[in-house]
Amino acid sequence: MKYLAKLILNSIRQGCLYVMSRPLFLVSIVAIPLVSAFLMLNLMSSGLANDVPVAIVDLDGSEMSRSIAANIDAMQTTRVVMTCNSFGEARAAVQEGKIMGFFLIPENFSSEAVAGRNPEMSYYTNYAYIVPASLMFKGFKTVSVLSNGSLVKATLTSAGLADGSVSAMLQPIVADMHMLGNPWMSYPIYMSNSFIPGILALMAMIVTVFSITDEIKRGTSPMWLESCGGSMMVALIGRLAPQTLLFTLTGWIIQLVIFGWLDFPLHCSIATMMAAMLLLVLACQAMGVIVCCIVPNMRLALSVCSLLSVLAFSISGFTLPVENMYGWVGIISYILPIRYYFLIYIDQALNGIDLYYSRYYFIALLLFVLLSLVPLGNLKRMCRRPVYIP
Amino acid sequence: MNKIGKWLIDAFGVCKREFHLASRDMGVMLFFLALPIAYPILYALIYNPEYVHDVPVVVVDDCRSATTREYIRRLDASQYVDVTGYAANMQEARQAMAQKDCYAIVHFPEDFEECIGRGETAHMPVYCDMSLLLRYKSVLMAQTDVTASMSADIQAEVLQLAAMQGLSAGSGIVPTVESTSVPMGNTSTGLASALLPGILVLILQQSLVLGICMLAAGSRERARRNGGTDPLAIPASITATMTGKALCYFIIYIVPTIYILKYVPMFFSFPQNGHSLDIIIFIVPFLLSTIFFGMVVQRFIHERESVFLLFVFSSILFLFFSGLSWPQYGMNTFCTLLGSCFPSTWGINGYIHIKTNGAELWQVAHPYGMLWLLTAAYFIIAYLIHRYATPHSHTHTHTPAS
Repeated sequence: MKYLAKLILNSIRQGCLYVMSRPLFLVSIVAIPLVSAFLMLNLMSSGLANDVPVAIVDLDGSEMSRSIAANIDAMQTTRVVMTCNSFGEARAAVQEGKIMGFFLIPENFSSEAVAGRNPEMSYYTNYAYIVPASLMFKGFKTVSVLSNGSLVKATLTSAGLADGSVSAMLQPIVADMHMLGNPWMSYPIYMSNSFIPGILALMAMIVTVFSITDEIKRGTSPMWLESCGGSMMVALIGRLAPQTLLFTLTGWIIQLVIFGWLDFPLHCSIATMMAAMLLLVLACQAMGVIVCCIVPNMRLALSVCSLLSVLAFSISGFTLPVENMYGWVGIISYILPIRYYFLIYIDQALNGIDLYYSRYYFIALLLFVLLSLVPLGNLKRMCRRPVYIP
Repeated sequence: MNKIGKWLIDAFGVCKREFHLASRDMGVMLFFLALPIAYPILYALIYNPEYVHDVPVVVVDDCRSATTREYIRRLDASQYVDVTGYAANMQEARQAMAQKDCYAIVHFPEDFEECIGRGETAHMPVYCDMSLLLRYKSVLMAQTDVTASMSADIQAEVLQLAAMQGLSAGSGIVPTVESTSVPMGNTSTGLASALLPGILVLILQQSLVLGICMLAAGSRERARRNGGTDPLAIPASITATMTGKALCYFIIYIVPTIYILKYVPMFFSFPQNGHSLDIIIFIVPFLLSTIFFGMVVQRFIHERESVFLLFVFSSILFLFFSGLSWPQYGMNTFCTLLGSCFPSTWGINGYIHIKTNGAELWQVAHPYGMLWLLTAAYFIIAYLIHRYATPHSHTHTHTPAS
């Protein structure tokens, strides 16, 4: 027992030396996640991409059309940056990327409206960019509904209906939207807890694979195994434990910035999220070990990990919910540790529900670690007879 | 003349040798060919469902009237949500939400129908889970549509009443203005058709840079084993070497580029506007600037495999800088400036303007010009790096692992 402890300690010491041996590791473990976090948070620092640049095509030029144009500019989501004289001009501006969409008021709009001939306004939104398009759509729709409302209200009031009942008639039903956890509809709150830990998870997987297969590439793996008493487990613990520490510390710094400094919603104890981060790092390393055991070729193992972790950003359901993907695509999301971290974040930090409901996600992360112990024999064989294929 | 001739022969020799090296390197071929072929298909399959439909919703109906039942029927009929059941009270509904049996709760208060009958506005709270914006958007769309259609019916009834009472200026007609929404470019308004064109361009850049870095690092590893010079390198001037290699990569990428930018959108019915010729002319400086960008990045890659550690993650950042996820007008100056240093930012936006919005080449003159500017800038930087910070002089210490 004492011998084993000595072996493990020795192995960990070697693991520390290994991490410090090349700046590459510190860059990958600490600098890349931190710099990425900084850049992404800085990029979205304004919170909501309001003031979508739009244009007005006012072919009517009446008082009514001018007030509609003013309303669009006054909306929180849209900002009128140019006035176009024709549909063609506005369309060209969209194609050139100067504006994201435009609102068209046809000729004789106001006279036809007053005469009761139901003229039609139209709004054009460029759905090539989804986020601005949704915001712009909301703004345009509100303005068109309000314009109609004010016209109807004016007519009915002048016809003698009471002011209050006209308003109720225009809006007999109002749905009050309660946006749980993120009432500001802030984009960074929703992105930063998926994409930033995603980059950390990606690096954890790749660095793990790199630091194991590196020995095989150099042909030093038999010595490495020998120095750990021939135990693959001891060798891996020593190699990976210092990296676990560094990755977890980096992750905690990021969490501190997100929850502490930027005050993003945290409706649970910070310890829960910190534990989730530790488990995420462990699960990603375990995933790396599993990939190494299955494909011990350095380049292929790294390719597999890169493929999985880059696809993880799309497949883990950060944007498109997993239940809406094709079944056989969605199923891949279950073998990605980041998915469980994301679900824990939603349950605990965003929605603040009972820890009980997230129990399976914690267990899933632990399962990765346990599963990685199964195929170790395969890796040991590879380490004994290292073959490097460039 | 002789000098130019020698330069041309050198460049051609380098190109030929690079072609030879690349085609025999499985790792590089994986990046240059397998990645551009497989990735677009994988991404397209992930995002191909395009929409979030049938978000499960639970109803708490304290009113239990004909109006609320009609509302719920219409809500259930909407493509966006699926009413999975009634909850007896809010407590039960919240539990369903915690168990992820539903992502929104619609609550009808007891006096819902009474309010409508009295001619007052009836309020109904809707609680929506905000973990995914697309799910929220679907709930919002369904709720807005149903509320509008129910309101219209109620209005029609009331107006009829008003007309009967002779209130509406004699004729009984209340003037209204209509409005229509017209989606442009991505007329299906789907997620895949919006994201994929940008991702396609990004795949071209990333695979190209990864491959270039791996080739260069391979040459560096050979040089280290061989006492400082790569035995397989052709001796030539720096410009001839750079031009020769660039030509080689450019030729290799002709087929993947046509496949990715022309055929993948065709396979998956993404928006296909714009002229192919415009895209071809536009993409030339994109490929060139990416190639020279790769030649700059390779300076930091000392081993073939460290390219995975140092470059793979950047795809996510490049995607964000391009403005595809978070719009460019919402970024601060620092991020806009940083973003404009990458070929992907201009390539993605230019390609989307042409392919999705049907712009002509003159309309994307700005990104097109910027791509040529980046080509020149990265060529010069790469030249200076090769000239003054030759990679072979870099002493890389081999630390024997343990």
